[in-house]
Amino acid sequence: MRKYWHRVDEIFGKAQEAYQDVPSAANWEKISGALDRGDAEAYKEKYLLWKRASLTLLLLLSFALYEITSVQVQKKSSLASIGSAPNKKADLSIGQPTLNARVANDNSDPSQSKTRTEYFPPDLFGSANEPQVASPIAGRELNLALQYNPVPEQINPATKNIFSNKSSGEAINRNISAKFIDPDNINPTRPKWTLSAFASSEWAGYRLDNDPPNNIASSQNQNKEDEADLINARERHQSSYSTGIFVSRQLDTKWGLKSGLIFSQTSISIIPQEIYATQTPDGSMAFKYVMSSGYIYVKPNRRRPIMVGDSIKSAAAQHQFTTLTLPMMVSRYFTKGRVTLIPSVGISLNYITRARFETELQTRRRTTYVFLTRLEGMKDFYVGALGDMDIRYAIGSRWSISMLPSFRYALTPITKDNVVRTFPYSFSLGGALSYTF
Amino acid sequence: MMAVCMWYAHNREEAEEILQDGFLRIFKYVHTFNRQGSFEAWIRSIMVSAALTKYRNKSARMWVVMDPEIDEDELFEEPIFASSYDEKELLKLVQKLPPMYRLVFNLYVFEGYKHKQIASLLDISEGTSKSNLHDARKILQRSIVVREQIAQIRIKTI
Repeated sequence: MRKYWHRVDEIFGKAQEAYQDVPSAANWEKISGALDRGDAEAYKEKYLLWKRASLTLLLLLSFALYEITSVQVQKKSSLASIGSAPNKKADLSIGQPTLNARVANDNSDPSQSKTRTEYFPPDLFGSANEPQVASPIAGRELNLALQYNPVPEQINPATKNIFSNKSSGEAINRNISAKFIDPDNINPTRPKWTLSAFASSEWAGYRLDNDPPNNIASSQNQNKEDEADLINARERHQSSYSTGIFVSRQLDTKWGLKSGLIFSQTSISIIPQEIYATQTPDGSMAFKYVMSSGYIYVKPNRRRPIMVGDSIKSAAAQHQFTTLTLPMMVSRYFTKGRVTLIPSVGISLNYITRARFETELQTRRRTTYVFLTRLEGMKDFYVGALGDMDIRYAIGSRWSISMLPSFRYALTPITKDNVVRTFPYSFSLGGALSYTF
Repeated sequence: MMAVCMWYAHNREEAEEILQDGFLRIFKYVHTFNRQGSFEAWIRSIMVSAALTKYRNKSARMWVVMDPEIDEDELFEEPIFASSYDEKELLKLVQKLPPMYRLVFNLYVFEGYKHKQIASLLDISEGTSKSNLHDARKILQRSIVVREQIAQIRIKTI
């Protein structure tokens, strides 16, 4: 009887392939409800992890930038105070000889000359070793000192008038304020942070280099067709976009550093093509679909095993990949009135967070829908160069809007072990809203 | 995928339960899809897995013996197969099989698993798997042959 079992199997096998059924609408509603309850939480948790990672990265980057710039600012401040300390003391006398000198002149005997700390409270001028940059409260303290400490009799009348006259004290105060208290004069290298949110439309492309060891066309085919040309002919870039935030640190009036996080999505359409069977790394046979970003092995569900030389037709395909970019750039500031031009150049660390590919494969008996979220031969990480021109217009003391043309180019390929090495690039034009603090 | 579930279930209600469970698994584990093979094949394997889970939980009721009403002599006669069958009728025949027979038959015939794999999936011995497949085939063959004979008798009477 066993000789008829293959017939039984065949009858039921054909019936199973031919049978079609659809679930009821209520069943889809149940599935949707269950997904809303359970998977929505998992979905949130998934992106919560990304948010945490991005925030941590941003904080670490901010801290590193702050540390670097703080050291630079301290060095510049020290140099400035060493070079200008005597002049700042001289400014206390409103363009006249220094207070110490005046006191010394009033006492012809050097041994009788008194230091400034004998006339004024010691905390007014601080110690000799302190940087002689007046604090914002110095002017106020000087007024108080003039009020509660009578001007010594040893000072000549002209000088005494300066100190005893209230208006002169105010003049000193104004002078101190003008010279020292003005934030721009306290430290001309005062750093500024700028936080910018931006969105831009991209014109993406890529440069393809043949990878000879894996270039099947050039190594096996007699006509030595160029894989790069074939891929270029098949693929078309579609509209892509970028969005993200920039954090800028202005170190002085001219130079600054810039970083942030950029999220980009690149879309590519691929025309229908015929794909051929090849041996996979595990030794089995499958159809290989090659594209610029990588390749996939497809094993359609069919009864006949895949043989060398078999081919299958694919419908038009859609391919997208998303990238998270960490830029590190140096900026130059050109300011005129409300407009600031800030060209920046630097390098970027890019993580390909997701690749999406979908198409349909057509066999004689059925159409197989192929949907993938990961490609073979595609790297997770690549290094790139980037530059932009931030054309910023101040709309307030802290807020500004920008037009942001930019350019990005991959320095390392996004593919490995593919028939081509792919270096994506993009031009973009976007807008940004910035807040300076 | 509903069609796949129908072949593994006893009726439509059970098939919809399997489909729901399968789709929840798909959405939960879609990130683990390893790109080996088509996405459709991966979804199908998830559905089969969901069906196995459902019936594995009812394993205590799965163990049955050969239908005693089957006439063994009839099975040794040369069967007559029709040139074509209605797949809905064949589906009903498979659905009427005892759960363990149905699972073993489906896994062997539709999914192409070997007895060793089936034994591992269903936590049974290879011998049991072979025995169940044998019994399932006998039941199904008897059903389709008898139906064909009835059909032929009807044609003759007309």
